[in-house]
Amino acid sequence: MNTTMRNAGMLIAAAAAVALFSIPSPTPWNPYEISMGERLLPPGTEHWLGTDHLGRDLLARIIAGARPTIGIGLAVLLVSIAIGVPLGLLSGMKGGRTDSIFKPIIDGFMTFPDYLSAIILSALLGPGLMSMLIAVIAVKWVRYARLARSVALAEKEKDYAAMALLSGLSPVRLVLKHILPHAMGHVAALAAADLGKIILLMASLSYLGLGSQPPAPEWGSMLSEGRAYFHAAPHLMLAPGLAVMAAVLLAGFAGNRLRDRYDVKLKGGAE
Amino acid sequence: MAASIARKVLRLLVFLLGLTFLSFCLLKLVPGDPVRGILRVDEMAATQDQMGGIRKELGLDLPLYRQYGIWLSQLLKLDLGSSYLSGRPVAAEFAEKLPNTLALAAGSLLVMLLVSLPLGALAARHRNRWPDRMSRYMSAAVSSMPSFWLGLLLIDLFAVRLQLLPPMGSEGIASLILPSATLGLSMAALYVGLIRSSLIESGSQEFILSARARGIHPFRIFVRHQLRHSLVPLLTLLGESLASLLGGTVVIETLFNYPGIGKWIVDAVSARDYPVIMGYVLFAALFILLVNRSTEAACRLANPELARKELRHS
Amino acid sequence: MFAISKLSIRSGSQELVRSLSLELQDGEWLGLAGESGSGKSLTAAAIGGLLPRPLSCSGSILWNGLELLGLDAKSRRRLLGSEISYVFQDYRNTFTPFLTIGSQLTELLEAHLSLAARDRRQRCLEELEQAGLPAERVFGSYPYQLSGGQLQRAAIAAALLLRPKLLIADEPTTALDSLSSRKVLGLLDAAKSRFGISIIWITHDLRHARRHADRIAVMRTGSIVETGSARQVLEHPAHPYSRRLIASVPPLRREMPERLAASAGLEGEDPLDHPR
Repeated sequence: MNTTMRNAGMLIAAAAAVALFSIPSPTPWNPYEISMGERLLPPGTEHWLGTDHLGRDLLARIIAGARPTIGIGLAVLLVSIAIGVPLGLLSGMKGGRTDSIFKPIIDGFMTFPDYLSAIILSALLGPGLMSMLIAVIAVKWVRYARLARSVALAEKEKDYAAMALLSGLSPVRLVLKHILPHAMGHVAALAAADLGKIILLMASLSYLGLGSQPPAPEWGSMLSEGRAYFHAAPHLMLAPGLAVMAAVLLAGFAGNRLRDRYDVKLKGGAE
Repeated sequence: MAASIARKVLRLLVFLLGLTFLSFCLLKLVPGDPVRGILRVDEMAATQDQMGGIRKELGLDLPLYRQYGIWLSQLLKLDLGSSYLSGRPVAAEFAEKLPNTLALAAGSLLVMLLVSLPLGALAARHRNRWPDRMSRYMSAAVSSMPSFWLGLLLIDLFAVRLQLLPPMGSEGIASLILPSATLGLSMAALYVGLIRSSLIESGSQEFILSARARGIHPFRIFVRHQLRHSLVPLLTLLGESLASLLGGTVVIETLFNYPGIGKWIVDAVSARDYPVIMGYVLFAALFILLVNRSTEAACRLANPELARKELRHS
Repeated sequence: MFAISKLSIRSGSQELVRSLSLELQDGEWLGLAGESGSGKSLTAAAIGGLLPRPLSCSGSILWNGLELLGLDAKSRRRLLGSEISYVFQDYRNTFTPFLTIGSQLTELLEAHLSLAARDRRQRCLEELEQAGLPAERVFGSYPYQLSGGQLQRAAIAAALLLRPKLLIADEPTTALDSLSSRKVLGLLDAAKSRFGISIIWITHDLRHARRHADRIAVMRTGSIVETGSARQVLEHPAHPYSRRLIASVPPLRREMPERLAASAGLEGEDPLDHPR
């Protein structure tokens, strides 16, 4: 894919994202309004994507679901970074006892794969949106803490850091001005790939009934609801599934661009 | 030598203890009352006395640390308690369902290897040409799908339209095919890229060039030199995928109504079936630890230099 | 018997080796000298068809009447290791790290001959001994268990195992200390006098050239700027670049203190002038 195509794609995605998030209900249908007389209608002129098992317009629900699905995913990602990076930097920079507390925690979490830990944590915390969020954040912050910690450890040894500290620069300023930007580059690269994974993870958790509960129009729980009517009305599962897939692909796309931009900076720029 | 083994075992035990205790606390502290599920409060009226009685019987009115102590002491006698839902011993249900999940995991692993290894090798060999690009696009597409959605598509195609395979259940090998294919394909999508880069990296090694300069047949070079060089990263990948498989089976078993431990835990969660949940957590921890240790040992076997380096540092 | 005619190696639109022509007689030791990037290693790789994938080449390389460029894979595999052998600069990576030296030597034999296992082993051990190595020990060792000098000598043993007619040595001593370098070059000398093999020896350092090479060709940015007998090129270089290259060789004799010379067994000798 050449650059013009990629840029065009990005613009379209960005425009779509803005539209999805800002307009409360771009279609005349209310995503929550139940209308039992119009159940399970296939896609048609009135309801562009048809209706679900409670007569709610599917397209409206998909659009309304963008905010919980993607927005919450983004929020989870940002919170994980906000928790993980400072703790990781702290642990790496101070070393000693602080590190000896955090390192085993980080290592302990790292032995388990993300997916499984999130499922188990969700299982322990029970169903519900809040517990799912806590579970996913609790699993994800560790990755960013580990990354920040290794960046701090590596940069700490370098000459420029030693020189700065010797010439009286306070460690806090060193971290803020030099190490943090360096770490954020790596973090951005990791986060880019992560957003898609988080969306998938939350969709799966909701599908299992551990996350968003109906009637929230979150795509994962919509997939769960649509399961029972798969034979009669396959569009109930096709639409949210495609939506998730599109979101994850776009997130991955944006992520690659971000990572490429960061790499170029790393290669071209100097400390 | 013996001292370091003892230390490792101790660390493991402490880890397991901490993990189970934390899980236990989380479980009990979060709102949700299993007693209601047991008495099926929704279906019939239950008095406070009845609920109190059951609570006492199950020891749910004791302070937290005592409950944990009871659980631990029972564990040492290899008793995991009984499920609140079914009343049957957890260990027995576990033994019944675990083989199904293991079969599913094995099937998925097989599919994953059969798909990702040849694709990765092809992509590495024809770098930047159409086999490489095709596999990259396909992996991107499949790995962006929720695994259960892929499963549904497969069910729709093979079970409903083509009527080739049963959509769910557990009768024999046939019902294992679709779930394994679903899980295997979604994992393969993730690993094709990694296999490709690992093979490219090993192929550019100098010693591969030297082997070619000696006139050795390329296939032999691939198997005996290149593949084995990639073995360590590939084995690590395999270990990770085994661990992820455990998570993946939870979703897939739920989708296909497959009677393994994945579906079991999902049912247990909604009912707050504490003993089952604790049993699953313990199993998951042990399984992951086992997989990690085995992977490390296998890597040491594959690359003797690694073992020597470790010896130096320990 | 070996002739390169108008060899050009290209990477995309950039020409890395330009219309290079070179000849080699039987039993001749040719030194190919030049600085890094001059294209010497590429030329050597092209002979065996070992150029990396993105590069393309044109021209002709004749080996006893056989055209090497564009040779089919099977014939090439037959030649490599048995009639044309290589020794590379990076001794660490000449052998696959997780296989023993012995298993890799026997693999080489297996690929070209059919011998009984015991005979294979015997032959490898003999060759390792010829290279001045403790044969049994090296045979069973992994590459990481040997020193650089030992590895390079094992690499030479591997290269000579099937009595090739042409040995291409790409900077074999550049990464070695001077004592190991002497041993390595001594081995090549011995092989040349015993089996009459031709040697193409690539180097960027002309210190040892006079002692070992028959002829020298000087390369610069993809072309040969001068060829001639070793003595002639070293003492009366015609091309200004050759002069610069030779002048850049650090003079050993004057700088080396007496003690050091004595411990190296070189008292009273000029290392540059050691008679053959």
